Amino acid sequence: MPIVSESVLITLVVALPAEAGPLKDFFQLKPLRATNNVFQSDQGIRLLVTGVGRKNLNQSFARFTRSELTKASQQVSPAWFNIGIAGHRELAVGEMMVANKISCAVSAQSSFPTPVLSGNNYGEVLTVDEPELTYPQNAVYDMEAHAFWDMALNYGMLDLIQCCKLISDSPHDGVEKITAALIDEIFYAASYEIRQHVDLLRNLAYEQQQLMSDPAPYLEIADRIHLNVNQALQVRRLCQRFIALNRESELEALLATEYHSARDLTHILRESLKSAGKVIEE
Amino acid sequence: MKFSGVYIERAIAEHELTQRIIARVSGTPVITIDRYGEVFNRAGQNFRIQKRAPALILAKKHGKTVLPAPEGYGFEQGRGFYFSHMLNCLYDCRYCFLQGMYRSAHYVLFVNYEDFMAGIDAEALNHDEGTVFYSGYDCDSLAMEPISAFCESFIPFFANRPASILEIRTKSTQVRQLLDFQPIDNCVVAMSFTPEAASKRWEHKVPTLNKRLQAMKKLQRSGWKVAVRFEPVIGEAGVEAEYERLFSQTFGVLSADELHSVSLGEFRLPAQFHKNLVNLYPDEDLLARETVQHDGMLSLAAGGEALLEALEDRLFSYVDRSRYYRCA
Repeated sequence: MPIVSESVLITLVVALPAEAGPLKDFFQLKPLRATNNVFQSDQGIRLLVTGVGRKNLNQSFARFTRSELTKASQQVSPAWFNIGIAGHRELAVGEMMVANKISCAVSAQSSFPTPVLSGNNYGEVLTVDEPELTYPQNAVYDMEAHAFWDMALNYGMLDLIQCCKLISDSPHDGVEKITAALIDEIFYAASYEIRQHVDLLRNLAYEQQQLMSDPAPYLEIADRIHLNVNQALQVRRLCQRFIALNRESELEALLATEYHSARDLTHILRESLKSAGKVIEE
Repeated sequence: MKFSGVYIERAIAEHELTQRIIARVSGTPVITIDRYGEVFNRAGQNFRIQKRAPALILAKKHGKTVLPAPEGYGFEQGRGFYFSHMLNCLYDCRYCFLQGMYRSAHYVLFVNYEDFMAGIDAEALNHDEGTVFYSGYDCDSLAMEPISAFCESFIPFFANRPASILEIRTKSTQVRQLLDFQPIDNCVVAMSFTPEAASKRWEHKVPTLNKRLQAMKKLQRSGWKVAVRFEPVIGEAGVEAEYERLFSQTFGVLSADELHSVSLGEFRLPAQFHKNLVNLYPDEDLLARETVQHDGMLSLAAGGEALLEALEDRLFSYVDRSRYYRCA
């Protein structure tokens, strides 16, 4: 059952337009307003195409965050997913590897994505500034993952920032053989796994958004009377408690009674919960 | 036992227990790290998400390995201490304070047991009046026995130190390792119980009441000292009848006269932990209930002294008062 969401749940980040093509197709992504590197669906999925390398990724993120993420909080997705081609000395072209460690060759810093995604191959993604031709370490070589991690940490939930790479080159199949057609082929061959990962992250993001969302009765109250920040927090939690305790109809009845201020309302709701809390044995 | 990954601190990669664990979890991705703080309890982590697929972290415990136990934590038998060779638990009890204490649900296992043992010896030497060492404060001590080899390591250790008592707190039925040993007089296996309905509702992944009682019965029959911890008591309508049934079930299986001790303790936790739990589970009815606060600790309004006294009255028809204490 597809999730129809007004808010963005997951942002996919790729470097190349050739990587973006299949993803636009898989998830029915359409260009976002006047941009030429941001695409979005009505199912909570967004795609950002950054260009190759850490510098391009940083610049794209900066432009994107200035133009989009400041507009409304619902545009900030909890889940961020970097997917793209990379090289490895042993894995065959077309294989997918889920990153459980993302390192930067320049700074020698490493980060560790939470093991949320499952796959056949797991390992380290090592981000380099120039294409790696000799694959000296047992790692997947890419050019953006570490910069992606650093940027996504500013916006997403740490456990929902993930990265996986599709092998495009190896000692036997050098980078010179990479073409748009090959990338297309690799992405389509991995479409099932890609969809699975995106669906899982999107579902987790959706669950988190639902947990953090304001309860409907609270939104009605906030529409009706002025609440300062402190009152808003209190009334919101009181409404949550009525709902969690399965006392929504009682809440509705209380909200239908006369109250003159936010303080009045808070008092009424609190007293009602308090009196019920004292009952132990009938 | 499946883990989404195994992180290993470089410093203990060659440790014997590490090597043994790696052999047991073959097929699980292994990731080398410098310090467990790189993956555990980082700002922005979410306990609820991680609990879906926790990883195992093998680390070295630095600094003090043994700490004084809180006042009233256990049955008075000497100076109390606790040690945590592990952080977090296989089970997923909705009332558990660990969810409020850590942002991460991964299991941290400190493999340098030799340093815990040195810490235990040091405290035992400092106190002539006898010492009790509690395990299972930040974890379940038995649940991961096939991986942790906790009993395998600590039972022989305590067997050679009869003046010190080891109390193992658990909800697990992993008693096979204990049954393979000759019982020792200075080890108590303490099982926590809540009424069946409460257990089904809030103690996710915990073995059934009956399975746990049967495991305790096996231990008791083999000569191990067993104790029963009726906690946390969660006050609500009908709770007295639920406890009457639980007492009857428990003492129908276990011999009350041979129990080491029995305790009751109400649901309480630091206010900040409760707040963290509410953020994780705003929709959980247990956490939406009315609470009262004393000295920074929260407990349910529907409970308190009157309820505990009523339960104690019922309990004393099964167990002699001399074996009882109320958990602070």
